[in-house]
Amino acid sequence: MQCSETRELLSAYIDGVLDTNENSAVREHLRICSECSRNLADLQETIRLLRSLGEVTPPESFRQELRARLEREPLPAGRIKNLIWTQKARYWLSGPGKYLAASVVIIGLGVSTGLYNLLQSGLFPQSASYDMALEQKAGDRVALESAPEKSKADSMTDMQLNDQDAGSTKASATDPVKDTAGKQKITSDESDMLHQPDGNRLPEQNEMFIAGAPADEALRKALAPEGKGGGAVEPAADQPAGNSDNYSLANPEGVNPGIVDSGTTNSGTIGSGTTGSGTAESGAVSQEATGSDPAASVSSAPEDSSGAGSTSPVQPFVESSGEMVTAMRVPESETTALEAYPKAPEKRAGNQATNPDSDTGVSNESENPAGEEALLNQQRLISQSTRTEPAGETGEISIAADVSGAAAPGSNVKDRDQEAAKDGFLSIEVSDYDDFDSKLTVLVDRFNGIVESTASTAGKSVSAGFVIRVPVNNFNEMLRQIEALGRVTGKKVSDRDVSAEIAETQSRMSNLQKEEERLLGLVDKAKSLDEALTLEKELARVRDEMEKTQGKLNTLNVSGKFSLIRLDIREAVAAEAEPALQTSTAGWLLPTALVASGIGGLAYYFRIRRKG
Amino acid sequence: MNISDDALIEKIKQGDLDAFEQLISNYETKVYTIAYRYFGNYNDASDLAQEALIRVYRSINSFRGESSFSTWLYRVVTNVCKDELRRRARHTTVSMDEMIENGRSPAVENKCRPIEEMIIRKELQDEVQEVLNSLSEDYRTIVIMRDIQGYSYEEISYFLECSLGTVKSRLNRARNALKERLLERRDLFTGTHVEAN
Repeated sequence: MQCSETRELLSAYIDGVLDTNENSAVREHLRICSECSRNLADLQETIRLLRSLGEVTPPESFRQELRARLEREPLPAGRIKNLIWTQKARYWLSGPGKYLAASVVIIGLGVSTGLYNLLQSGLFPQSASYDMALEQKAGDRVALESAPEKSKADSMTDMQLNDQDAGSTKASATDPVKDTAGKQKITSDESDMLHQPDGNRLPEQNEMFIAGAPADEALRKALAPEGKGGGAVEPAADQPAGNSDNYSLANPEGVNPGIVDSGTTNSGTIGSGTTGSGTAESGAVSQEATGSDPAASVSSAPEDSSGAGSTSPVQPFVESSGEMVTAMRVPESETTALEAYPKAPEKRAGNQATNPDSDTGVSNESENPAGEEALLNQQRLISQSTRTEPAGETGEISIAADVSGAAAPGSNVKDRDQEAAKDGFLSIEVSDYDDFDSKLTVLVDRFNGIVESTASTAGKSVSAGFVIRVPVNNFNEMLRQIEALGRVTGKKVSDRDVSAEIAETQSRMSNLQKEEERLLGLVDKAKSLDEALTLEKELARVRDEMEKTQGKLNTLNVSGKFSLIRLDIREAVAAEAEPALQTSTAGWLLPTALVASGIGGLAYYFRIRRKG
Repeated sequence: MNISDDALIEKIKQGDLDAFEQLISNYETKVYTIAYRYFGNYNDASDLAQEALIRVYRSINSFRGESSFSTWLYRVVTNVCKDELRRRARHTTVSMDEMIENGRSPAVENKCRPIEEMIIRKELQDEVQEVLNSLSEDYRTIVIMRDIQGYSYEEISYFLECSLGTVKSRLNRARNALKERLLERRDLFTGTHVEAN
């Protein structure tokens, strides 16, 4: 064994932990190697020195310090068992447990604050008032969709109508609203420069579009489920010369010709395009445009009547100062007998080339040289088959009508002085709904008003909608008094000049009368039974139309004398949620901070515990 | 472990601090000495000895009596000192010189010896402690465990979590290092070369 190896083993050799072979080998080497022997001796001396080191007595302070530290120590677990719970809690809190407790409390606080925020911010809609607000915000007519089912339907619809009325003079025809069936689509436009030079839309006109629209009755029902059909849509006026219940008014540019399902279903898609032409010039332009559009569809209509395309009969109205054009699209499967009538009796002489007797779907284009625009093809194509069974058809009728508010000047002048009705919308926050309700009833009685519809939703806070009709004279005072009943959060008052519609309706009435006269004349001259029958049918239709128009006129006359007040009532409880909504961003700061600091405390607690 | 220890421990488990003091009074000097050997100064010795005793008190409930109380107690002390030494080696920048400086403060020795011998022994012991302090933490730990505390190789390998071979070779190197430094102070050696047996 070499010295180097031996040196490695000397320490273990001294301790006697070598195995026997190694032990004897080392001993052998030590006997012959003085160097290693000396090494061994030095090592042994070192160890002896170490072992000789005596004990070191701790200083006097040692015991005292230890005692002090021990008294700060928590009790051993065995001791805790014998304590009553308050002592246990106190003891536990005296240790790092207090951090745990504080952290838990803080986190709990943060979480509950957060939950409260969440509830208040309306992520969990609980009250109908919230729904209402949402729908209002949408500013769309989506509400129609769900209207019949919801108790607040009419108030909602009203509000939306109102919104739209006052909102702008132009409602895009491209935002149609789908109804459940989605079959009816009415695009309407009206340029009414004569009666509304400022181009502002009146509430009734929108309502009219709905009311006068295809499923007139059905829609009325939809708007007022309780059967108060008159409610929201009451002041509506039929559009001129509509030859069926269903018609749509397309905007002058012909952008969006309406498609009307002639079916009786009350579901419909209604998009209202409102273009208030500001000036007579633009009105003229729009007339031009209108003229060309229906003309185009007319020209294609007859050829396609056998199948491919839908026919688009056009019914132009020629009057001294304006045109009304109604375009109808007839189901392609129908073989239609089209009659073309020059609408304006004054121009009849120039248009006599038409063939009124055609049974076989002949289309006639008649130019109206007497019109302002040479390009304007003014036609009226009457589809008898469509007319006789409109309800059963699944086909679509599209009517594009340009209503230039060109009522016969003379006959309408007297209506102009009619006092403009005002409509008002109030959004009110009340502290006590029942109290408000009784006061409102008193007010309504005092001002000879009629509550047309009410809708209320009970919930965490009551919200309700009212539609009140009140004589025009009492409107301002009534509104003022209602405002005094609560905190007004929203108010809108809009003028509504019914005279324009009255004028239109009257002009249409006179048109119808003229048509009736003309038809009567034709019946007399009828040469065949067929022809006579056709004319009789047409006559019946015209008369039917006249009745409706007259009805509308009556309604209009009445509605002109009343103002509508729409109320959106909310109990103040719901209002408290609003600040929370607004401050929700800042409101999250607190819970977040609380939870974060709580977690920090927990971390500290666990750190302490691990150390301990 | 004797019966009185057993009884005292039961009292301690009920939170009796006096019982604890009574119990450790038999061991505290040894505990303190061990700590002093590891750290070579009285402050650290006090601190670490107290720390070890407190740890014993805290975990007295986990003491089941499988080994004697003293064995368990010294094991705790060893672990506390070893861990602290290792922690310092990693984290602190306390220089060896500083530790040696601290080690110079007078130690109170056992009083059972004649005064002259005591003084000589004290100087000697201080010198040995100084040399011990100059060793690296690893060497100091293993030498103290083996030659002062008297742990077996197996026990040391358990404490240090290393193999027996490592214990052997490290102890050999530590002892040799200590020997070399002691030889530099020749006077410590009496010169009597004892033959190995």
